[in-house]
Amino acid sequence: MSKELEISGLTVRYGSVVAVEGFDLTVPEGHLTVLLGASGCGKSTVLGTVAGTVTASAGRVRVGSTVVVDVERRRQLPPARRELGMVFQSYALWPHMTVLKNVAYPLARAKVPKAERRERALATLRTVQCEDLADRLPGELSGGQQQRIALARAIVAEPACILFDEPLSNLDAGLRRTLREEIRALQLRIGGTGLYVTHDQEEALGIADEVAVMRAGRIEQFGAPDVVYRRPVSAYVARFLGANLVPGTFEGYEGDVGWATTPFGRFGSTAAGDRTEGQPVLVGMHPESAAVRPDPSSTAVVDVVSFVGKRWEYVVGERGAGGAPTPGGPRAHAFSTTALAGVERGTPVALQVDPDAAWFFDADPAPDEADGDATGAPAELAAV
Amino acid sequence: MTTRSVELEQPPTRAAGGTDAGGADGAAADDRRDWPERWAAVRERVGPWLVPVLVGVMILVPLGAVVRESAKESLPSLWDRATALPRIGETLVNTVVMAAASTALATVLGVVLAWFAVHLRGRRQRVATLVGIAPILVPGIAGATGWVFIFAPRIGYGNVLLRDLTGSDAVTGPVDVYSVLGIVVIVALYLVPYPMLFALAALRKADPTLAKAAQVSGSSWLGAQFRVMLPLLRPAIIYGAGVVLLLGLGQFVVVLILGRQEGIDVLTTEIYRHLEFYAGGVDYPLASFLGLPIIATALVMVVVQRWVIGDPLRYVSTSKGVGSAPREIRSGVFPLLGFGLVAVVPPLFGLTIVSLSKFWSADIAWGALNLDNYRELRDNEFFWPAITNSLRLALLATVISTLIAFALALVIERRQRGPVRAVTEFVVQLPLSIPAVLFGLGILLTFGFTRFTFLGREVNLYGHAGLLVLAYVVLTLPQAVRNIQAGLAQLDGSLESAAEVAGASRRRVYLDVTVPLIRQSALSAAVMAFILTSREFAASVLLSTPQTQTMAPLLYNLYVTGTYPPVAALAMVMVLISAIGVLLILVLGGRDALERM
Repeated sequence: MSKELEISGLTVRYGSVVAVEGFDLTVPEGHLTVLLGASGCGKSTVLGTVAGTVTASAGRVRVGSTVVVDVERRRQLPPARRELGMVFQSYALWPHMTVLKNVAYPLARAKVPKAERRERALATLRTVQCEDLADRLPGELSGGQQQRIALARAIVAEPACILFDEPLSNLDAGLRRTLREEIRALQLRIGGTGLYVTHDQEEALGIADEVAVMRAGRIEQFGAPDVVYRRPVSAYVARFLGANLVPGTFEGYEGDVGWATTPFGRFGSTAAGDRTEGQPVLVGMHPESAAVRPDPSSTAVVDVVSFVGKRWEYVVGERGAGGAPTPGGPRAHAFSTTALAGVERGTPVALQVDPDAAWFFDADPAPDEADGDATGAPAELAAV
Repeated sequence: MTTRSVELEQPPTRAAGGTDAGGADGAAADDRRDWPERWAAVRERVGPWLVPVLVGVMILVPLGAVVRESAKESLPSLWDRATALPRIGETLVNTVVMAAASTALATVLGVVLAWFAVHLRGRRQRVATLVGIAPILVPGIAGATGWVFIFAPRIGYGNVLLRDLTGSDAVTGPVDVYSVLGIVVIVALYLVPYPMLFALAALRKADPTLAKAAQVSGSSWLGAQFRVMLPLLRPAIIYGAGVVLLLGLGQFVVVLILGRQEGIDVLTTEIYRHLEFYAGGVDYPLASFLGLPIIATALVMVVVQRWVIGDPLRYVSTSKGVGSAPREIRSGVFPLLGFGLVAVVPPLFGLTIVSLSKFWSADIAWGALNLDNYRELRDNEFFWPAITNSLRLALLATVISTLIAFALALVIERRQRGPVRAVTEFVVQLPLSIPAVLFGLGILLTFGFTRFTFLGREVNLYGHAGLLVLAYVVLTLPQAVRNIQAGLAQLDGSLESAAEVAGASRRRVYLDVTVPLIRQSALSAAVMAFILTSREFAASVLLSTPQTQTMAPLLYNLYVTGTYPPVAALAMVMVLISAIGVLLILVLGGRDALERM
């Protein structure tokens, strides 16, 4: 049977505030789609309408063969009748029930016979390697264990669709990675549909079949993680994925490569788009694609050099008065696996990047784009 | 749309053996489904209003009856009769001045004590806080009587002791519990716990690193407290003071007990004077007319408070705040213990001694102390009925009020948007703002004169126990709601969402998740409601008859006949019952249960 998740024309309004508008998304059976975006972009609202905790203003949601939301036909099924599994950021394990009871609860609500309930709950606990915790209370467990139990509870009834609401945000970095891999493996094994919300780009890219980067209630870009990462369609997506955005002026084309001059050097891009000479432009590139080259005539200088273990990171700024980088001016990052001889704070440098790894975007972004990163975004709309 | 064909192709199966598969069996099922869903949508919209409206009626109808009663007589005539009352001007001034003075005193004391309490740690903090809110635990009528035994001008034990210590040969003083000042101080002692709890909640939430940051920026430690921490507390202080002012304006029993000696009255006692059968006749229109300014003030205050402060919920939370605890000031134990010592120990001492003595006189006959008064009380024909009435009615009222409070708290906590929440909060705050005497009067006027035949039996609601229960339910609601609301506020909403997604109906979510998780706060709320109700005086004295008399009216009746030792013994019994209740709260609700009041 189909376990496809289909969202079409979804709109959510709170009073005059539009949180989500005309949202379309189909998650094919067996796929995990990640909604990625800054807080306030509407990703949690979308998840809420699928779960049934948020009331849709327009649109339709289908989970497997059940239409759970159809605003036109005044249908908004209560969460209990949607046959979903959900994993919460706060784990949301019921502290007064044992682990086994927590996991068996969806089965109890589905009127599974008692003996079978226990059997299936234990089997599911085994798949998350927590069988021995069955009789413990959630309060006695570590965060990682709790989230494994929550995962077991979400999958125990074999729902058509599993929702993940920032499930790893409360865990520390190492555990986050392990659990991410486990979630991915489990989801591939049980084959349901997955909808996963996060603001962490690494988490999103690592777990997704498709990523939907969201912005202001709409999907800004949708695609396989590597495609989205290698070819962001807008400055917003590029910035959200951690890319550099360097302001410059468009020069013209040489073949199919467009060129721009910037304070950080001259860049070519095979993804330059249609532009006219002299037009302001933003040049985007990932820090690992950017190479630092000492250049005494450059208008950029190294501001900070830091060693973070697996690589050296160079922060480059525009050269200001007295040769120091302009405070508050544009900055670009470049990563290198080795220390660059003779490059230190204050060294004039230029950045170089392969034209296939650079993208040109329109300068003069919309006001919200200017600070549309994870921290500067408008406060998240209350989703419930 | 391809969806429909998908629906038709797919049989409605669910691996879990699902209860149903929604509209899976095609368009026909979809249509059938739509009606229950539309009905559910209507219920969703109307449902939340049911209990708030019901409670609103329970509260507003009696108040309306008071207003209506005063309209039975022409306004000029009532005005003339009211202004012709002896010393009515003085009564009005007393009402306002005494309320303002006790509010000021209680607020300052409460904030200072809360500040000391928050600078203590662990067990010391819990004990000190318990001591700080101890006055609530002594029934007002018992406490006021106890203070009489200590600071009655001539033979109060405290005055005798002070005269001995100072070598004074005066026959009265130096302290006069019957004076305006005496009443103000005693009322303030009883009010201190309220601003203290509000300030404590705010202080707990205030990040102590804010004060540290001010110090690092060059402020002195004391300066940081005044310039940073005090302004942070301002909303909580204003809110607490507002609550206390309303309680002060409605202050009744302490003035009734202490003021009669010197003829000191406030509006509530003046109202009661016109309702007492044996004091110059009952005059409902005049009593109601005198209540109007109090009702008006309360309504205005509740609205202004909401408008100035906004959401009172902000000051309910008992969350332990962020960051590190402020630095400990161990000597802060002393002000708190000192307050408990001054506020609670003297009246209890007075009550104990008098309850064990044959007479109340200036000299304590230590050798002759005995339990005769308790034996006499045991044999008093009114004693056991009063106790069983109090306990039974309180129990019934507590169960009802807890259930209603749960519904109201759910509305407030789970319907963040829309007018239903604002209306509910308004309704819940009203009983806190309107003196119990007026509620008693209103209920009496609404139902007290109702007679009807039901199933061939003549029913007379006058003096019916149901009226007492109704009054108790209304009066305990604000505290019960706040307590359960605090429990709900601390409950992570995703715990309930998780159950819903797991297939639980709304009712099942409440049963399986919500109720078990707020059981503690609900239970301690219930016990607290029980304590306060079992000793309720102001409404009881108006609504009870000899058949339904409860403890506090019995105590008052004994008091006005001037036989003090049995009064003291009964007061001690009331204190004991309250103390048992408090112990129960601490056992059931955990260590900080009392602070959620």
